[in-house]
Amino acid sequence: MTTSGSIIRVQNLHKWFGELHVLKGIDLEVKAGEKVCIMGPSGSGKSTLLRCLNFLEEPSKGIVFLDDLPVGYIEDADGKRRRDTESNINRMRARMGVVFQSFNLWTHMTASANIVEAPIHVNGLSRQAANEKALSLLRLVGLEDKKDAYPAQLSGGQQQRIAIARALAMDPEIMLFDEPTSALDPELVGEVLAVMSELARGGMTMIVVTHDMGFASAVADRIVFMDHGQVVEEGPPSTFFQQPKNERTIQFLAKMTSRPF
Amino acid sequence: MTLEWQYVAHALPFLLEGTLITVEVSLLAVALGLLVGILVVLGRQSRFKILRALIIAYISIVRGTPLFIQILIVYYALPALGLDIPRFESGVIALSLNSGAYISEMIRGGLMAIPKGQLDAARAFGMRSGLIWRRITLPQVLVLILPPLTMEFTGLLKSSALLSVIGLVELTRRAQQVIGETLRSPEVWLATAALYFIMCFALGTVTRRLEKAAAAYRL
Ligand SMILES: Nc1ncnc2c1ncn2[C@@H]1O[C@H](COP(=O)(O)OP(=O)(O)OP(=O)(O)O)[C@@H](O)[C@H]1O
Ligand SMILES: [Mg+2]
Repeated sequence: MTTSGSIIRVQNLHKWFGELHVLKGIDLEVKAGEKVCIMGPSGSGKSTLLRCLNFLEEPSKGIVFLDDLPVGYIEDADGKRRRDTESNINRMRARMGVVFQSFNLWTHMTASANIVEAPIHVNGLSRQAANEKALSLLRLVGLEDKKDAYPAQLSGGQQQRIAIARALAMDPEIMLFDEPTSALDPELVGEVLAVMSELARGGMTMIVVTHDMGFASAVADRIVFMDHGQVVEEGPPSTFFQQPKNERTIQFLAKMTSRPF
Repeated sequence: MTLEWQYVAHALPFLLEGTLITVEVSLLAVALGLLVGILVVLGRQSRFKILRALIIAYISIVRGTPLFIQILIVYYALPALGLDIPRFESGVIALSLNSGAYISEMIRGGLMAIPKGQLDAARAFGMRSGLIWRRITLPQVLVLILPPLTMEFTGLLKSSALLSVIGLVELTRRAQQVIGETLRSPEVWLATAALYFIMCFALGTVTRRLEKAAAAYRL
C-alpha cells in the first residue's frame, strides 16, 4: 500500500441509480488542511459524491480511501475486496463530520442534546466530558444561550450552526458540507459562513459543496467543478473564476454572476 | 318501575373490584400490544421472507375476524393444543395480540413521518442501526402515535367487557354477578356504564396532558 499523504482519495468512482449513471469516474484527492469547494449545476452528482465519501451511498465502482484505508471495504492480500463490517464502516463514518443542506437536527432533542448524542453513544465519551465539549462548541458558534432550545425554536441559521457544532463534537478529521447555506434566507447566510471561515482558519480539512462564490474565493484552496457526473475543471479560485477554460464552466459562471444574489 | 339506588351503593365495592381487573387487563394489553407492534414492525423489515409472510398473515387474520372470536380461540383452542392458560392471562394475550396488529400499523405510519435526513445524520455520525432505532426513531414515533394509541387504549378498556365471556371477573362479569344476587338489573347496568365512562374520561384527560408535554419540541 502506498501512503499518499492525502486524507481523502477518490479513485474512478462510479455510481448508478438503476439506469441513471450519476457519477462517471470521479478522481479526487484532498490533503490534510486543504479546503476544496465543489461547484456544479443541479443534478451533476455533487451530493451523491459527498454521500459516497462516508458510504451513506455505496459506490457502484471505484473506491474512496480515508487515510489510505478503503472506506466500506476490506482488501485482501491479493487485492480482492469485500464489504467491511457494519461497525468498521461506522468507525470510518465517525471520523468525518457532515453538515447537510437541510440541517437534519434531531427534532426531539435540545441543541445540546443533539451535540452530545454521538460523542456519548458512538465515541463513548462520558456525559460530563461531552457536556463540557458541547458548551465550548456552542460558544464557538455563538449560541451558548440556545443550549436548551429545540430545533423548532431556532432560526435556520441557528439550526445550521448547531449542526456544525454537532459535527465538530466528534473531533472529525475532515468536514463535509453539502450546500450548507442553500436552505437559508439570504440574511442568515452570513452567520453560517462566518463559522465555516473560522473553522477553515483553524486548519480544518474541508470539502464544501457550495454555490457561494464569495466564500469559495476567500476560503478554497481549490475549486472542483462537476457536470454530468464528471469533474470537468479544477484549479485554485483565482484561475477558476478569472480564466475558466472549460465551456461548461464558463456557461455556469456566467449564469451564477447574472443572478440577483 | 322506579330506580332504587341503594342497591348500587351496596354493590359498588364489588363493581370497583371488577373495575380494577378491567384496568389491569387493559393496561397490560396496551403495553404488550405496543411491544408486539414494535416487534411486528421490526419483523416486517427482516430479511427472512417466511417471517414477513407470517406477520402479514397475522395482521390480516386479526383485522379480518371479530375480537370476540379471537378471545374464544385463545381461551378454548389453545388448551386443545396443550397450552393451559388461566383466564386473566388468556384475556391479556387475546387483547394484546389484537391490539398489536393495529398498533404496528400506527407505528408504520409514524415511521414514514420521520424525515429521512435525521436518519442520514445519525448514520453519518457512525450510529448503529439499533442505536438509531432506540435514540432517534422510536422516541419520535411514540410521540407521533400517542393520539391514536390513546384511542386504542380507550377501545381496549371497552372491549375488555368481552372477556366476561371466558369468565374473567372484570367489571362486566362483576355486574352480572351482582345482578344475579340483587335482581336489580337497570341500576347496576347504569352504574357499570358510568364506571366505564369515568375510566375513559380520566384516560382522555391524562393523555391530553401527556401529549402536550411529550410534544413540547414540536411547538
Ligand atoms: N437515491 C437516489 N435514487 C435515485 N436517483 C437519485 C438518488 N439520489 C440522487 N439521484 C439522482 O442523481 C442525480 C444527481 O443527484 P445529486 O443529488 O447528487 O445532484 P446534486 O449535484 O447534488 O444536485 P443539487 O445541486 O440539486 O443538490 C440526480 O439526477 C438525482 O435525481
Ligand atoms: Mg445536492
